[in-house]
Amino acid sequence: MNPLASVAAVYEHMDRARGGGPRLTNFYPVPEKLQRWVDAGALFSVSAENAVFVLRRDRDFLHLYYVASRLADLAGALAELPARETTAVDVIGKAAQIDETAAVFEQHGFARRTALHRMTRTTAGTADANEPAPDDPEVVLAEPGDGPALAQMLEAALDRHVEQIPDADEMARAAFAQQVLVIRAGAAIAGLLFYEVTGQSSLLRHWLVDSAHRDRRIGARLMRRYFGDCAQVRRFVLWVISDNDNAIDRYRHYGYQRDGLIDQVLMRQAS
Amino acid sequence: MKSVVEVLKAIRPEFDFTQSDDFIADGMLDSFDVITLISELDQNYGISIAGTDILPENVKSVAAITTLLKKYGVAA
Repeated sequence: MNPLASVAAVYEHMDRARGGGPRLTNFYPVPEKLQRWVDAGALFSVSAENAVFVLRRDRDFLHLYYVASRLADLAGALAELPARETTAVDVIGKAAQIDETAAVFEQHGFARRTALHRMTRTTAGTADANEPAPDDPEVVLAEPGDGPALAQMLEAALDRHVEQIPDADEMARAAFAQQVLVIRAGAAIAGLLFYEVTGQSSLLRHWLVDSAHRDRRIGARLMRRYFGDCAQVRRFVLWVISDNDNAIDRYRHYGYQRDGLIDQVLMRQAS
Repeated sequence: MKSVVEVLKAIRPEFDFTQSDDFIADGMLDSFDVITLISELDQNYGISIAGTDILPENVKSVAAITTLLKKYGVAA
């Protein structure tokens, strides 16, 4: 595993793997995030014939991103991948597309962990379409100082191997960028909603209510404020664990529908 | 044979692609949509776009896509 010292190095490795033709990949790098990972010394590469792995350290395990020309190239590269650390990989695509690729990982010691489904909500992108929320003074923007508490709340509630949980630093940055809504209960955070906006699209990263505060309609209030703050957005997107029927019903209530994209998460334990 | 705008509209009907010169920055196409777009362009125009050309800058606008198609002999 070789440390990746620059964003340019990441793209160089990807280009080498692409040179052999299309196109098996789960790596869709966002330059800003790549730079943060590089700055944190969290990125590594493993290269093989017509394939490259980019590994990102996340707490006590690795996320595996792959770029390969063919399944055979992916399989060959996996045979050379050290198994010293617990590693998670997301195989993303429509249902008919992912089983072949997932099977290659399973042949090399990975086991299916869970699947996430993408859900999408489309609107006309106007204030009326997104129903600006009534003024709710308890729904406020999180502050950078809330970063550790927000990250702790997410880590306590979610599976870190599956949900790509942001750390305290990322939550602090998100709060600074006004991407995190909260409702407080005294000094504690009763609920949070973390989202990203790219032009006319928005990704709901996390929406969580502390179990001790589930009688105050906190989730609904956060969601209404989110839609109201994103009046220009035409496409709202989120990922939900496929067997979380409660969450899926709630999202459907807000107009989200499954759009057919699946993220199959597989893991290989350190050996 | 569909036009470039028609191919885009089939992938993301909620957006007006004639009103943007950067589909990625404007959130009209995400990473998965780019992969779908390449596949649809291949099928629609009977070409095979190389992996090295699957870059955001090559599909971020109608003009960029048209330039990419010209490279593969398509007068879109």
